[in-house]
Amino acid sequence: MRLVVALCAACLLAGCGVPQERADQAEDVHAVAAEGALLAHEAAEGSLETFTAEHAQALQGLLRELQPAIEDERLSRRAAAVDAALGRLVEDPGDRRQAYTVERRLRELAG
Amino acid sequence: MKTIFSIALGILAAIGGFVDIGDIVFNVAAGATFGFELLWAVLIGVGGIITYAEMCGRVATVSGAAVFDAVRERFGFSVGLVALVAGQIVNLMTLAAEVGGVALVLELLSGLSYRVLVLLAVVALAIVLWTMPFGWIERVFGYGGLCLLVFAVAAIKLNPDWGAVAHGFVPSTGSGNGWVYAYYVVGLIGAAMIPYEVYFYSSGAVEEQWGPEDLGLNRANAVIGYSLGGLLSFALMISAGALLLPEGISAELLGTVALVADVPLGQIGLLLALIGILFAVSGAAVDSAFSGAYNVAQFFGWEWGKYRHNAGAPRFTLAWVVMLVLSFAIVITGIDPIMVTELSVVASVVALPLTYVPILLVANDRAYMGEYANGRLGNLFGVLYLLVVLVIALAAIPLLLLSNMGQG
Repeated sequence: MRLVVALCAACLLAGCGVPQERADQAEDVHAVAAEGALLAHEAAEGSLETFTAEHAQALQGLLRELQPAIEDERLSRRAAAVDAALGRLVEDPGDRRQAYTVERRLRELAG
Repeated sequence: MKTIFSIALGILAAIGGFVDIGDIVFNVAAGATFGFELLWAVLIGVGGIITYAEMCGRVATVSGAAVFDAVRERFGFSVGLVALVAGQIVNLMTLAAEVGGVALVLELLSGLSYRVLVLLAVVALAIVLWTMPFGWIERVFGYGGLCLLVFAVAAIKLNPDWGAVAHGFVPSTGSGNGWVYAYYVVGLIGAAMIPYEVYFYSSGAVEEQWGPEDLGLNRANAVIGYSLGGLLSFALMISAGALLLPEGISAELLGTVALVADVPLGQIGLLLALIGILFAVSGAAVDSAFSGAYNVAQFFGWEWGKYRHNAGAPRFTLAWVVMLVLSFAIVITGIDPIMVTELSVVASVVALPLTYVPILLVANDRAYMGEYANGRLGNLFGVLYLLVVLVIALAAIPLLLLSNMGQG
């Protein structure tokens, strides 16, 4: 049992870390941007406002865990832009016209 | 006619109650990472839970002994106590994950603070556990969980490559990172065979005072209910594979699961998905809290059972209250419920042989079970799944480490 607990603890330490490789970080930024674009698309179609705001905030949370570890300047700027676009969904989840603009922006950023 | 109706209701409840947060997390994450390639692993897991639950239900029906009666009888006090402690740790982790899941869904629906919702969820669960009769618990959450069928509609609407879906039911070595693939195989089988469901199921047979005349009902519930419940797992993986994988989206949030129904079906799909997840996860929280109380009461020979009412089985009642309080203490720290879910599934895989082996031994014991002991087919599946259970139990922790918790 002690072994199991020790292994789980070791794993927690390993698993909690954010990716350090640039390629992995870029993949994570892409994943958040692509999901944000889907969310924004649904918001533009008229989704539940609370869900849009809460999920956009949760996506920002994923990004903010990653951002301090990003050393590449371009990737860092891209992550900041994704964060800002998601912030617009958090601020005003019911604005369908803005959601459409956010969707296009996040699609660009997802590349 | 009444019997058929009762069987149908039981099956419906079993379908809705099959999926819990572990299934949701692993199936959607597997679909987002490997598309349809891991459907075969779910199939193996569903076969496993059918075999395990059918044996447990039969043993409980024939002998009146639920899982931890059998564990103590076959393993003795010392080894049995190790099994009990391991089982309780897994139950507690599962309960914490489910409570966190309930709060996350409520947060997505209401926008209120997560920590306030954790408290609200625990209080609501305590009221349900205290007041609701056993049959109601099974049915209310089971029927509510049927809203998850929205994912079956979403899977069809997303129009996946059905040839690739069919190919996913054939075991393969998979593409991409081999350790991650193997980790998901273990996780998917483990999530389907999560032990608290079986503890709850076998104790439920005693609660509802099943006798040998109910063995048909036991078999129908286990085989049909869990098979159809498995369809929900397939639907989750297929819809995630069709929507998330092509977009390069990883599924790390519960909201991502709801989005999978939102995109093809719009607002109604989103609402049904959130309500379905809420009922499924709340039901699993109730089941795992009771399972913890059942296990400890059965092992120490205390009075137990919802049918005795709270005052009629005070130590049993205290046991589920303690489970609930401990789960609250874990979740309120702010630990990520999704991570707790993954760890609880892995821990349950490691502990699975400790309860599977004694049940297989009792179910196979003609002196104990008489004419209701395992037949040839029962033994074939029982032994086959014993091998599966042992292999995944040995592989679970190394794979957790080698795959970096499935992150690669």
